[in-house]
Amino acid sequence: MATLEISAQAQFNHTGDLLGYQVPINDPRRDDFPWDSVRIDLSRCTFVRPAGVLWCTVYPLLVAERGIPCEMVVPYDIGVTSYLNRLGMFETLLNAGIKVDNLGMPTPQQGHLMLPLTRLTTMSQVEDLGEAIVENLMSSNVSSANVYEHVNMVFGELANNAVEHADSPIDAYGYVQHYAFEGHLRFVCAIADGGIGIRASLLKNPDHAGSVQSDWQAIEYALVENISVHGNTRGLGLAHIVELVLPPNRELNISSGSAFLHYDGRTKIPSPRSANLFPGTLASVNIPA
Amino acid sequence: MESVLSLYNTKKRRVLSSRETARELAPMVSTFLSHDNGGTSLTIDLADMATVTPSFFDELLHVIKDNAAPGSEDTPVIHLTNTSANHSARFRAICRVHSLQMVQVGPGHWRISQA
Repeated sequence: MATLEISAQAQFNHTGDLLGYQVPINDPRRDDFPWDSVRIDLSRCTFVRPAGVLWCTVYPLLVAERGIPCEMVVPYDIGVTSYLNRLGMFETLLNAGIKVDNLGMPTPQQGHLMLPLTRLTTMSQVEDLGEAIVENLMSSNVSSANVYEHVNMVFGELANNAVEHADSPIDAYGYVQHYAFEGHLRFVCAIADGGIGIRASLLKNPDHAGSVQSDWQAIEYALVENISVHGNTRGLGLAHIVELVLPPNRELNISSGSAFLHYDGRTKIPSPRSANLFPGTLASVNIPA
Repeated sequence: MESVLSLYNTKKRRVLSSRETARELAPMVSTFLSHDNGGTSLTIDLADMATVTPSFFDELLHVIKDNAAPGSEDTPVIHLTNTSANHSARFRAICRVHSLQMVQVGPGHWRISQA
């Protein structure tokens, strides 16, 4: 029995913080994935960013989808474990047959979540969830209608993109929450899938072949107005999200394949530690409340 | 007779985000823009809408162009009513991509026509 052991560092910001996770051999989307079982160790984690949360969701779900046993060791830090439980991550994994010792934590209450970690399957469902997010935003009473509209627009665009273009065997997953960070309240909207990635999606349209020779180029290209798999007359959503993060203290993060982009409204920064793959596409937007 | 497409009354949703939903409006848009109904203008009422995404609005413009009455060369004139400031700023950018101009004619009321 060959067991793949992957562990996360204390600050789990993105896949660059994973140890024992070399690609492409550890990509569960590949037919030649060689492992008989997978063990993901989060025990040392004291902080998990959205990209970490969604990797911890998508990767084990892709493994389980192949019928390969998968186990997750939760953080020893009870605050972090409690947070992941409230998001609904453990429940999602347990429902897929992944072994998680969630320390007997009760079914999470929604609290600061505008949308708990939710499987996204159809565009119609995404719109229904948008209605629920509006309700939760209004009742949260933590910001202005202007910001609520931005949060909901981001969710709609990112979630519909994932549902429409990902070709993901596990569908897509997303959540929306507000949280306090360094004394300021912020909203985060994060969506991820276990699909073919932005590059392969764009390459379905042969017109884009010359422009997307790497995952990094594909991410940059997808952010340009009017670039879409459907041709050059559609594809406005991501471009408008880029505009939405122009004001100070907003940020957009995208991982797809082996590329990672951080955009803070001024500069687009590829991660210096972008060698670790996200098995699909992940996008998150962070907006001050 | 003025043709008014109320997004909330039609879809019963305050959030419209997908291109798919915009395409579902094609039969209604086609009827509104038929010669029998005048065929030259359409009013889109955004009352009670919380979020209309760029993708939805972009696709709706495609639907309107595709369903213009036979023989009409230009995109029909589109009136947007009860439009929030958030929405109007975004929609203006999308109109530009479609070579349309969007001009404010009153509070929350915008007119979209060929640039």
